[in-house]
Amino acid sequence: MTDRLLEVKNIKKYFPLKRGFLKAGKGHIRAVDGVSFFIKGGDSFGLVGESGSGKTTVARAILRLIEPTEGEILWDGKDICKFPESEMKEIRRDMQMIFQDPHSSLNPRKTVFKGIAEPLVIHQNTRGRELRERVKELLEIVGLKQEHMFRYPHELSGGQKQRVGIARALSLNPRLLILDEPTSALDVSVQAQMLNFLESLQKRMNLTYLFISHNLAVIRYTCATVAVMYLGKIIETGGTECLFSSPKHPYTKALVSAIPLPQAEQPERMIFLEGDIPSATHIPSGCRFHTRCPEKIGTICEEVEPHTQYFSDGTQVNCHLYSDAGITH
Amino acid sequence: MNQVALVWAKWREERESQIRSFKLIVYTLTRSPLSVIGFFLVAVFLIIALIGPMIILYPGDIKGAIHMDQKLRPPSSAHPFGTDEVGRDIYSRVIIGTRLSLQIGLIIIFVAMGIGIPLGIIAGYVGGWLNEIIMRVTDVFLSIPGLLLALAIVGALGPGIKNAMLALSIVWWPGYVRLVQGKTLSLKEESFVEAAKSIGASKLRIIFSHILPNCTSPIIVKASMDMGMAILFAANLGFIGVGAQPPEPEWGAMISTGRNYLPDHWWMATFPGLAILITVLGFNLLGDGLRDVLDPQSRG
Amino acid sequence: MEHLLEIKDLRIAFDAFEGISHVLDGIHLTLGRGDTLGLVGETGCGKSITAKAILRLLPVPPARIVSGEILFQNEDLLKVSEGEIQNIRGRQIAMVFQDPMTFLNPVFTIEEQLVDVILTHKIGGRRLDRKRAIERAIELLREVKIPEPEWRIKSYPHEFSGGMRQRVLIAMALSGSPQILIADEPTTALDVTIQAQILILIHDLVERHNLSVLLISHDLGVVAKVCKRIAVMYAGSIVESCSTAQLFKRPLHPYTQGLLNSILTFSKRVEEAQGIKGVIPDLIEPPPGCRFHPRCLEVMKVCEEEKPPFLEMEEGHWVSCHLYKSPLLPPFVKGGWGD
Repeated sequence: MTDRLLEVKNIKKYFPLKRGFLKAGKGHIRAVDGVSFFIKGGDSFGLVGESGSGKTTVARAILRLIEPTEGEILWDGKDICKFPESEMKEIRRDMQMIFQDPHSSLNPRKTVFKGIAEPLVIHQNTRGRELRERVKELLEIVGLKQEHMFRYPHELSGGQKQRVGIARALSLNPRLLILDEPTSALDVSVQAQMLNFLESLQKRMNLTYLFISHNLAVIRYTCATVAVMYLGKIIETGGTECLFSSPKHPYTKALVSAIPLPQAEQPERMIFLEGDIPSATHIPSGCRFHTRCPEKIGTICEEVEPHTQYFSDGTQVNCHLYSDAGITH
Repeated sequence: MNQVALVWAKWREERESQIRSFKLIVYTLTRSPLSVIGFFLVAVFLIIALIGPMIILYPGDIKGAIHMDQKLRPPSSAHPFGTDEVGRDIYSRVIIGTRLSLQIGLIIIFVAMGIGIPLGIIAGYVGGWLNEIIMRVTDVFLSIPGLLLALAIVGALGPGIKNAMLALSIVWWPGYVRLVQGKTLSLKEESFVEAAKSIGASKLRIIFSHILPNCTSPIIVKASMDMGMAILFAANLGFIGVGAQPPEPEWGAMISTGRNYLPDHWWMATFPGLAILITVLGFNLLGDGLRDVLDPQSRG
Repeated sequence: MEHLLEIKDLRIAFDAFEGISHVLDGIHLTLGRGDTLGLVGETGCGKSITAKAILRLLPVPPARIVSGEILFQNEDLLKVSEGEIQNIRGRQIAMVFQDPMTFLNPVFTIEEQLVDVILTHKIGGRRLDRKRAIERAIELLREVKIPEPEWRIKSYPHEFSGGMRQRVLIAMALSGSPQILIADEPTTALDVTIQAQILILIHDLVERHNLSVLLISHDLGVVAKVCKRIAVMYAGSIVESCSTAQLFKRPLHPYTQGLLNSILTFSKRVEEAQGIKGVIPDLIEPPPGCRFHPRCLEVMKVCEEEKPPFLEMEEGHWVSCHLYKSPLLPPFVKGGWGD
């Protein structure tokens, strides 16, 4: 038995590029290119990255909404990658996802009641009064009123829709919640409420969170550990406080300094990255960040992929700047 | 009594949002005068089809009767639309023809939907080679002009209203396959379908509970416009002589006979013709209006 | 001081199925030459509607201008002819929108689309010929820092990343040498590191061309980067308008204070972000008096009855709140970032 509720080992997801008349594969989109991390029961783990980083793909791979090309996903120590769909159905009760866009993650033709009830109907065949009671309970947990029960999604606000999604995810008493940008689509004043709610929910229901976001401030607020992804790989992992107050990887530094903050908060020098995020079909050789890195050392960055360096404060970095500083594994 | 009130209240509560949506649809529809006209025309059509037998003047004239002494009389108070070449009252026949047209239209559309919708969903959702096969077969059917195809089929099966309906159903189902397959393809990518998978929904459940209900809007729009066109096509076949056969009071067949008596006895062809015009126009206008309300992106 | 653009008491309503939605309830806004004004507010506050109203891009009906004026160079834009407003659109006042993909035609190259726009402008009274128009297009792309513009101009929109497309849109907006640039959530759809680039670009352009910018966003941080002044909108009214420094140091209106409180920043370790209780009001039956009163922590009796006037409390700092009756003597000031 391990206290690692979820462990991801060297997960890869390649999407084949179809070109040509006969649709022969010509190259791949390497969306996730070897990602490993673990989450202990009860923890909040953050996964940060911009578009093309692969963070959403990782989440979907964990739930096997898409099939990983390679790698292992250990749930309670067992590799679920090879489970047949029938066994996956059982696992699905334990891990649920809160989707990014509340406006499209609810079936527009299903009332709030039907949307929340569906998992219960599928797995437990709950019906009638018992079903109604359970849905009422869930509505209360997420802070929605009874009068919302028979409304359609388009009659609810963004925050309310998000809560319906959460109620649906909670209906089967999961152990892990994967939250994919749960507050990006919400207004600022609602975001804070939602995050506070998610935090209290976690304590109340003893949940483990995998929090995915591009918003560092949100992650800092909610997660104890965070991993930063760039173009399909994790480039830095560590305790949130450590990582944000003294980031090691140049990309993390740029990310931290790029967030537009009100006056008093802005760090002295904003680091600007030139150019755009490279396409996932043409991943740069060596360290994939070298094309934009302001602290590039030289040819080593262009040719050799950096190994993971482990530090005493618990951080891990993949960067040639630290080849001698940390301990290579 | 109290039990009934409770049940009614519960029903009202559960359907509150649907009632509101319905009211919104009606409101938007009434914004457009053409849609209102279309609705009105279709309503008249349906009412006449329903109460037909009650408002006709000469029930016997519908099919068999022959009154040679009254043949080819122009419109008068006794015969508002005049009489035909064997003395039958055209008004009564046109009215009953409404009922016939409604039956024809409904059967064609429902059979077409019954075949087309399941095929479309399967093609869209399952994808792969199944999709290819279904869509290519659909393409073949769609590449042949509808009326010609129907003619060919009826030619092979023999004339008659049943064969005409069968032929037209075969002409009509590919349109639904295309429509539903396209909608399914786009729905498949939506977050809520992914969410359904993540809560453990089976493929069947996703198809019936998530995808199909979201297809109904474009289907309703298409069906309402198709009704008019199906009736028109059936009349075409009747006119050519391979659809409904005399003495059926089918509008197309009536025009076919009436054509020979133009222009002196214009009323024989004109009134059935007007009936077709008004019916098809009504369904088209209504369909247009419904599309603007239910499915605005499919415009153009 | 003469203002380049002045919106006076603008009221706009939308006729909807459920009733009349009073989306704008008396907006006052001024923009001078070289000014950078940020219009900040959450969903449904009416900021986008205000921007579109300036260029008369609102569908009328269902929108209805109830009253008010939009003065640009002493002419009321709401009353000029269709031809005149067409002349102003894209030329003297240009607009950049949120989602760069839907605003570029996917079947034409960047060159074709840029040249198309340039050819409609008259420079020095005459239209450019095609060759010069292409040169100007390349020049514009260089100005918005697109690398190697001479051959990138031949690409199609889908070959550009989100950040680059947004730059192209900005280039298009600049092609008519406008006096005012209205940017409606220009960076919302972009990644954080790209967002930073675009904001710096806008900042540079303002300095180089003495451009006036109206930047609309829901993100106070974004607006603070570029704008010297900020106007905060809530439910169809401007509740506070002041310099950026004043806003963060001494926010007066309770809504502004609530917004600042809700922002998660690195300094929020111990205290929790508060959020603002309640929900955005229904604009068909808005709350009487001050529209914010149901959610206001400092609500008083008068707030339910009368809408507070828009008064100048200190130099350049306007607020619409019953808490502040006489200038320079606010009863108290909460929050702020200077403490």
